[in-house]
Amino acid sequence: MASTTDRVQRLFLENYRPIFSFFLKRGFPREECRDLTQETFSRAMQGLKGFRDEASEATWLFRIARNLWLNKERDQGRQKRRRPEVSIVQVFPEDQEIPDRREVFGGSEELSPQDRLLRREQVTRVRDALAALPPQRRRCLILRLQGLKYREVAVLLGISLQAVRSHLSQARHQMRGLLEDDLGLGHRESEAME
Amino acid sequence: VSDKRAALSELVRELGPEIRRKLGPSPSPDEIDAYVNGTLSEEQAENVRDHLTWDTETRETILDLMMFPIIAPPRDEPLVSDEEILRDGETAPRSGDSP
Repeated sequence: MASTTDRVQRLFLENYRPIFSFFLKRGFPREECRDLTQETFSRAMQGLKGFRDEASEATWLFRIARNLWLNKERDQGRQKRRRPEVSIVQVFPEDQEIPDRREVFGGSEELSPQDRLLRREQVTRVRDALAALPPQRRRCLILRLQGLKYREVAVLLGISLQAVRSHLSQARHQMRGLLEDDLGLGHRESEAME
Repeated sequence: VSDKRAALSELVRELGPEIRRKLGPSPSPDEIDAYVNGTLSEEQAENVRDHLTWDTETRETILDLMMFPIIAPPRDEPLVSDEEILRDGETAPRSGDSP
């Protein structure tokens, strides 16, 4: 007979994705889906000893998930009803000047008109160079530039690690001209794309 | 090297909003689910790939879903359908209900 730990592990592996999808399809943001999925399994673990084989474990898990979902919906409904209306006049009374957006959220340093032009030109050149790459090559490069690991790129695009390496190597080769001539990046720097 | 890479990353990041606007609405949860399960047509899958390249939320959701492989349950029992769950949900539980 399987131990409780084995049973929980199996339940988790078999049902994590469907339970996560269950919450996702009900419009919860990703972070909340993750929390609700964990909460579902946490409740399942607490109740595992009392579980009788009258229903399948999957059915039972979905009942827990469904309860969590309905409770959440009702709580959110309550909060919505309780939330007072706040107008901008209350937040910033008339005698107080409304602050500049950058004072509130922080902002980047103002660029000179020339720098802005140069910047726009660089962005356009990068965009054109990326557009010239075959789709998978382009995706691999952009995902890497956004800090994803090789393995993550492979998983997301459904390709092998070897294919990711090959796409990146070809992207580097293809974009080298742009990086060296237009952006002032040398050969060694262009290798940073990998 | 890392400065140069950061500069290039920054330029690509600046492109993000423009590209996302062109790509249109993000894939629905159903489309994401189907992409993860490999049941989308190639054309639809390409669209999801474009989105996940530029849209962090779509990408992270897919990574979350792909973290665990689907392993078929040992017994041949279908998961409960959305309809069954909704039918069950007609009598809403009280807050703090235990499983």
